Amino acid sequence: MKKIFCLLIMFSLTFQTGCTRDSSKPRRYTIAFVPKLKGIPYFTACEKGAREAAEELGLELVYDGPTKADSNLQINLLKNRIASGEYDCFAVACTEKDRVSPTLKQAREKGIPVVTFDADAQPEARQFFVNMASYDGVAQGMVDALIEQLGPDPKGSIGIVTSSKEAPNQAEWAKRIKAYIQKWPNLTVLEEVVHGEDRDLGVEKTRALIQANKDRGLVGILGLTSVAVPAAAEAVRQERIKGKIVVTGVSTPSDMRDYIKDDTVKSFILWNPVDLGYLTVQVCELLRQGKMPENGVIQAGRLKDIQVNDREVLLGKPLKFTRQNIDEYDF
Amino acid sequence: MNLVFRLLLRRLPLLTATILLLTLLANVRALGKVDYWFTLSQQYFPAAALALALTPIILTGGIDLSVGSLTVLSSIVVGVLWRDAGLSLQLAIVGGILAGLLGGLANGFMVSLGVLPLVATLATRELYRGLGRLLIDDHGVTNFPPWMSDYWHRDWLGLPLSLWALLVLMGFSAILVHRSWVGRAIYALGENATAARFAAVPVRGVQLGIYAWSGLIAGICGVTLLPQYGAAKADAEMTLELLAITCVVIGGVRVTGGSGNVGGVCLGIVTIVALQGGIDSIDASWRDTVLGAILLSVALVGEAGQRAATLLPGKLR
Repeated sequence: MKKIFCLLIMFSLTFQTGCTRDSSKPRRYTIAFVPKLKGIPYFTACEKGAREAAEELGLELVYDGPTKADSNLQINLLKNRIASGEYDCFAVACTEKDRVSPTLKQAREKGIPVVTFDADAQPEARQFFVNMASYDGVAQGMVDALIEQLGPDPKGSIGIVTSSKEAPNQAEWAKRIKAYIQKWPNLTVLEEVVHGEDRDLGVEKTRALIQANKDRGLVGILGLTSVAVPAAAEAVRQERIKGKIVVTGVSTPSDMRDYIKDDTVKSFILWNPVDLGYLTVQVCELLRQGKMPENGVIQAGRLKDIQVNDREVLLGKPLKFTRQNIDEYDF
Repeated sequence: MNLVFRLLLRRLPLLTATILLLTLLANVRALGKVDYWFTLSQQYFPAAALALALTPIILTGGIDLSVGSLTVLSSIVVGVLWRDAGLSLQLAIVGGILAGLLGGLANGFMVSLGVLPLVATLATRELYRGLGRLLIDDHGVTNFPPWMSDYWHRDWLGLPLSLWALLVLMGFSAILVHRSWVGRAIYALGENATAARFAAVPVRGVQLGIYAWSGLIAGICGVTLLPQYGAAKADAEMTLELLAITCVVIGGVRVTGGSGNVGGVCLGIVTIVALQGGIDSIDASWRDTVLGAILLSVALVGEAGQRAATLLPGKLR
């Protein structure tokens, strides 16, 4: 029996050549960069920026997240990473605020700093939140893109296509769009069209919206998700009213490339996810150095001056994508 | 010598599991930390407990595919009883465990009536999951009082509650399977159900009992999901039963019944948990592929060993 056991140990030691990590080397400061889910272009773009910053600052970055947007999977991943003791800092985009927060609090109790990005946790569960753009910034960016195409004194009604009236980002944007658009007294906003991130349903419902309102002065449609804008554009294309109704909103270049190329959509907006990832890692580094103010301005590498308000770091104004610049972005 | 060799071949599945475990321990630094194992024991408590509960069933040649769904249903019953029916959380927990027991009894009842276990529990797997979805909306139940999470995450005499529970369950399963008349009945059933019946083994009673037992454990597992994830929701743990069955199979239990032991299953559990916790450092997109490939090679080696053992000259065991 002893012989067998010795054999086993020898056998297993021979496998050690395929070792995943070299334990003799001193470990660098390691950030666990955890997206809501991995394998979608948006978060891959975040990863790209995060790696860029990590390389610049000489930090180790491990990018990994659940393959489904399921809070349980993210919680498992985070708990394992807390217990493994291999990570010095967490950067997390929370799948669900209230469910993931207790786990992040456990990390903080163990002395691991936590920075959230893209989707926040409860404020006491993290040190800093890196916000891609303020709600006002995005809402105004969308309306400005719309007005730019409609001319200085637009008349008519505006449709809004959204995933759900309860989704936090979308609800806040819709509220602010309605407030901001009152600057143009001849514009009215119609009841939101809700399609629940289902592209086909979005196309169908937008077509219904167009048919019901095109003779009653519908001049523009705002899409509030990356799925809603292409769905609205597809509806406009199918109704053959390209150029008569302005479509814009928040979406990604890869979702929108076709509609920009054929002129159905002239412009749309989004923050730059590469910069979001870059800024998040910069914040982690400043936090490590103890140079992260709760309020004030920080120097974040190539992004230069970045505003911090009440432990919330603001990336800045959203980007506008048009035919001219869309090919520079591959997410 | 031949005898030793044959014994070795017979035990090849366990041997490969041991090698796998030692390889992981030697290579994954995090697995050298006691804290990491404590965390894993909480995360994989349902899979481990269900593997132990499934062992008697698989030893009879049966299967229970509904345990994952039943676990989730139980957690939802607790949530709904507590939030919507206004019961105290303690009472709701009892209710959830009872729901698990009832689900298990229903499985056992059908199997003892002669429905194939695979068919019966495949059906209830969908049924229990569906009932869970009906009971609860998309948001699930959350915001449980913090004492539940404290109980679950605190150390009790140096070990987390999950580990104590698993140790007790391992001991109990070993006694049940190897030291009691129920165990002898289980093996008899797995070897040859007809012969067992003629030998006056109370086949139906045993079947009813072991399926009810796995339901009861599923109920307890369901309760542990609440402090672990802070929420009861219908789309949780979609492949829990498969992970539990994997532990049993890696532990050297033949799915055709009659062969295997609880010690092997314990080793299987530790190996699978180490594997799950160890491949955490592999990129998530690769993880399923790597896991599948490893399990496949273990299964193939095990099968080859079994065949080679029968080909060796000498007295058959």
